[in-house]
Amino acid sequence: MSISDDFDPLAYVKATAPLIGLSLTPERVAELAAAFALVRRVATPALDFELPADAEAAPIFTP
Amino acid sequence: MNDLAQMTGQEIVAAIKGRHTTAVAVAEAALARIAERNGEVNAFTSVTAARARAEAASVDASLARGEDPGPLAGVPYAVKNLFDVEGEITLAGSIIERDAAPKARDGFAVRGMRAAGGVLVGCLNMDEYAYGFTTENSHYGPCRNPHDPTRIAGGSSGGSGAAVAAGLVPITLGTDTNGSIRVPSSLNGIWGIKPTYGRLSRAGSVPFVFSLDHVGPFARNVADLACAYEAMQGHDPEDPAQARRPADPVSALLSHAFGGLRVARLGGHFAANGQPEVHAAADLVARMLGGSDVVTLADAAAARAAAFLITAAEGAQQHLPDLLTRAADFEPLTRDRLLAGALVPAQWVLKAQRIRSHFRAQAAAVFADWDILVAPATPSAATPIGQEWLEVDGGKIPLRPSFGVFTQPISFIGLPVLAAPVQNAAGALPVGVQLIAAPWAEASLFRAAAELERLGICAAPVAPGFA
Repeated sequence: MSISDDFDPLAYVKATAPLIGLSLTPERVAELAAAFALVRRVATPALDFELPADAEAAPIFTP
Repeated sequence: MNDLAQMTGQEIVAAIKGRHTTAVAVAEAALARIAERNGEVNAFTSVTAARARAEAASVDASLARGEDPGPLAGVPYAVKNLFDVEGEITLAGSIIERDAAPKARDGFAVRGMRAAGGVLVGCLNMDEYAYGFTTENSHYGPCRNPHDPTRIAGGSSGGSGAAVAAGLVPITLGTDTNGSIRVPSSLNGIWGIKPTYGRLSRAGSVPFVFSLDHVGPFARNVADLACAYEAMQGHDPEDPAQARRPADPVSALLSHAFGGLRVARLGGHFAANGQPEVHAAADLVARMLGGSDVVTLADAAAARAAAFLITAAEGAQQHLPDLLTRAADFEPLTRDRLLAGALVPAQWVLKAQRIRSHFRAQAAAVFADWDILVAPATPSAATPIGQEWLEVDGGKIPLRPSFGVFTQPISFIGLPVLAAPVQNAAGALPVGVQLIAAPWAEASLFRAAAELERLGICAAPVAPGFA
């Protein structure tokens, strides 16, 4: 699930913000892109982690 | 009066029950001390003086009738301002919540403290919506570290840490999603416990990340910590994540001889990623508990990153309506963390949940051979307010998200952790050490903590500038 080296946080934020109803000025797009780049940086060890195929998700729903 | 205000909870209970003072006198002393010294640390965001006087009078009246007011009789305490307090607006460090109505009743943990005889004196500063490790709150001002007021008190329960270390109250309550009890414990040099996920009800506290949130107490000695932990217990059908467990009394264990517990130092991820003094403190604590072996949780780095992802996405979901309609009212640091989390792809979050399950199994295998694992709580001692980068392992890392590097993997899988303070570990500054146990084994942690206190390795006196 690694992200390719040419990932562009600015373009990603600009493209996905409307999906959640978020409208941003160009200045805010840049600020949010920096915040998203930090999320990606800290998340990298998880994104690069090779999981065993049988690893189930943790949440337990009790009806 | 200052001596009365700075006594430990257990000393206060003994003095009140022994009729050497009254709960009202203790409450007045605490209120006076807060008025006198809080300005130096900015720990309190509100003081509940009328309630404190009424609760203290009730304790005194109970004693006069020959009744037992409880194990925390007349002990002043304060709560992170995300706990519901009857008649108070629950701010959660925000200005958005200022518009909310005052709460009609106390949260579960506050009701427990009151039933035990505790006297609530106020509500405490925190990172907005608990999303941070530094309590650099621009709405209410930064919380300052009593050991050096130019430095952070940690977060997100920064006020809870600073109030105890400054001797404003002997006990506070806080919450911990990724380290928000253990980080302030470490930076302020006090005791704190994050119990097993599901042990204590969180009902009546503002949620941050439902699947990771915990509540717990801070104190300046292990006996007070144990007493508060016990007071916060009890079954609560209002918290759907609470597990049905029997009561977990720990106070009676504190005087038992320490032994029979298998202790190891966590290596790998937990032996890197921090400055030398935090590792020296963890090494010392492990050694004094007889832990000469080093064990690893091989996938801790992935677990920490996965916790970060779930936090970002779930925290964002919690606040998305306000983020879309009144973003300017958020703390700038919090706002962009939350908005970035709202854009995290579902695939990342789903993978993070699978890592959670995988890492839980990895830790369970380690606990087949060990009872207590020892690790640093923070990558450094308290840093200057406003600092953005931290030097670690010869490189620079972003400070604000990195203060959870050692705490996040552990709370991610819900393990109980007791933060033990080592004074003067980094020059004049303290650091904390995590004592980590298998799920539901808090009793082992309290036994280890009591031993460290007996040995004089760990202690939490009032910070020198406030003593």
